[in-house]
Amino acid sequence: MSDAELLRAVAQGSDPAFEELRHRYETAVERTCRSVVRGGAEDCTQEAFVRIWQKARLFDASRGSAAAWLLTLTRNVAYNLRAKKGPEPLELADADAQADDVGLSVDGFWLDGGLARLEAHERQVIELAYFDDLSQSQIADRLGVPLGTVKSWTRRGLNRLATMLGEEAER
Amino acid sequence: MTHDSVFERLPDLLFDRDDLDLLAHVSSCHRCQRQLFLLSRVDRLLRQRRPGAQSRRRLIGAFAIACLAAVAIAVAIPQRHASSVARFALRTDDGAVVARGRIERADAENESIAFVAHGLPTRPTDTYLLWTQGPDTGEPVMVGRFMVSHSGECRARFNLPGTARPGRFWITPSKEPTAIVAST
Repeated sequence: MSDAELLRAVAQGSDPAFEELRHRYETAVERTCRSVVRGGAEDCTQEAFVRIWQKARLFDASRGSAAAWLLTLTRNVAYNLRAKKGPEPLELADADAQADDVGLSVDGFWLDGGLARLEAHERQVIELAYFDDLSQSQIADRLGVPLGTVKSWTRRGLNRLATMLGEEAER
Repeated sequence: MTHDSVFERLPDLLFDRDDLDLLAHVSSCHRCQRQLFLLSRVDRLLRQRRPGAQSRRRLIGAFAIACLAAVAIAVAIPQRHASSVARFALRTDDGAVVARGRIERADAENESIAFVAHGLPTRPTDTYLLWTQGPDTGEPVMVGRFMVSHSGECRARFNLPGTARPGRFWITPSKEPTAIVAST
């Protein structure tokens, strides 16, 4: 089920759809919250999902992707919370990281949701390749599976992510 | 090689970029070119997400993008315009210019279109689509979707795969994609 379909189901009160949406986007929402209100990211994440539940009926797929809508709502929640809490001291390094954080872009926000939709073994080989910088042979050794299996899982996972990204772009 | 087997192996081009069998098919397959473009975006997002990527991003990303650009150029850009910037204007049937665009290279993979519309009919419950022609088949390709203000104005920026400098643009309502409002 696509993100947009999940949001429509949430708007009709579907608990399973809401849980699936939370599963896909919890990491992205947390990341966005942390980049805006570092001290209150947990509260922000909770509040963002409450708002998603309440406002899902306002999502209009003709005006943009589900990831963009979720990111905008999360940002609004985070900025409102930060305004209530007052400014937090921000060190220069943090400011650079914030400005450069891929989590603040729609594509970066979407990426977490996309990874969550992959099969666990597909996600694992992609994360080991990209985040742990392991070669496919090293991944095969670590997981104890043949090299061909790692290649196959990686291809399938990357192709699925690309297809999902294309579907998002067409909405 | 069949299309399905190439399509399945396209991610290999992110790692083994000199697979001539794959490239030979991709050079004549629009669907594979599009998937390769999407794969390169996914690859870039994943590299950006890598822990410590901010310090390494420029080096690794530049290498990856350069390689992908080489692939893209090899397979999908038979004729590339030398100019780095191009402009276009979209006119209604009566000749009035209602939108302008400026195309420039965004990075090794994408063209960036700075788009300004003014005086388009307002559509409170609908959006507009900006279209162009695909580089190979001439099939319509949607560049992006935009809304106009109550005075018919819009400023937007779109990204387009850097596969070829497109020749023609047009605008339609999103609910009537065959009803051209303005075109180049």
